[in-house]
Amino acid sequence: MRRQGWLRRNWPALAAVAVLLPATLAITAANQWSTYLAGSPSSPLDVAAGASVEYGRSGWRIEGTERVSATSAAGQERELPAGTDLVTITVRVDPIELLEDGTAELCSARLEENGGAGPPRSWGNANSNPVPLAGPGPELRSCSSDERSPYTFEAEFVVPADAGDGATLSLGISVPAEFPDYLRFALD
Amino acid sequence: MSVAASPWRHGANGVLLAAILAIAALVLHSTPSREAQQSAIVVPGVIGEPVSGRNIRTTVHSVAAAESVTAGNGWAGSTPGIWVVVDLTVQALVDDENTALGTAVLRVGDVSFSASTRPQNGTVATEQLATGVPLSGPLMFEVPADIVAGPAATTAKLEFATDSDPRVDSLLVVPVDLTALVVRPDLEVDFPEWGAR
Repeated sequence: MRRQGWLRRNWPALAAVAVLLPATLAITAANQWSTYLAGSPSSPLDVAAGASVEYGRSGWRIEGTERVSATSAAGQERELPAGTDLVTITVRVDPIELLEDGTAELCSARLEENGGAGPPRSWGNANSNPVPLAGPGPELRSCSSDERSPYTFEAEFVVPADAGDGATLSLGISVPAEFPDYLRFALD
Repeated sequence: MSVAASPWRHGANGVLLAAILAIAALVLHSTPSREAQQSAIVVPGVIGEPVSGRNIRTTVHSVAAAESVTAGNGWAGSTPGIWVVVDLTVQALVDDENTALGTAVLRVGDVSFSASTRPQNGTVATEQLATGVPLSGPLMFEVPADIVAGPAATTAKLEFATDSDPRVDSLLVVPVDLTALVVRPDLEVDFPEWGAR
């Protein structure tokens, strides 16, 4: 009787290796990435301009967007650096449920630019932005833990004058308890 | 099994084993070390021209040397050595979250000097960067006097990155000839300024 070849005798083990080795690598990498991404606002939930949405323990809506240049009267009043614009976005927050300690949840707001010729860019809210602004500015620039009834805050972003040229600007709102999900509001 | 085929089979197995060992040796000796895998991605630049990395763009406008400096915030610094003062513009490119000029180093041979934080907000060394908004101002490096005249001073390098540990990220490197600098007795520099120059 003719003896079977080595490959023919061992093909089940070889097939198992061919499947299990890449599967192990893929699962390990996916696990590492998912752990990393779960700790930051990395999964956008897109919201149309003007729409209201519940997220976390509050309801959210963009009430308005204003943009002034450094050369405008409003820009000069805030002493905007040359070549920059100030984008102010009014956000309405409707607290639905308070935290266990009786305070309202805090949030982070970031302005995002996507779809342009270059890589995506983002800017922090002006209360954490390094560019100093003159004047008192808005009363509330981010979420407040003291507010228990509906309120608005005005997020301010100092951006280069070319921000949004050929690209889409959107506002990202995130609360840590909902990571990796965050709201991504389209702007008018 | 054919008796005549056995020697050929043993020979083929030997050749196969030798080939596997040769390939393993090749992979072993050509695979980058852990240090190389994690090293910074060097982006070379020159004085007067912008140089860009993943999340940082810098232009070194000029380099000067002085025995004492006065910063734009009024801070005056003397040193038993020499101040190497760099005038530059820097900005973040994609993200300003926790982005600062974490690495601002003057490297002379094997010796590196971090930008001084003694002038506090009189330099850009401690400032956060903004996405797409340039920040212009000085960096001050306090170095021994013999360094600027030493043999390695002709090939000194300025290094910039957004993190103090620039591994697996961009490291902008701008060469500077320190021996070509005229050491002034004193130097006044402007306060850091945001916006396009």
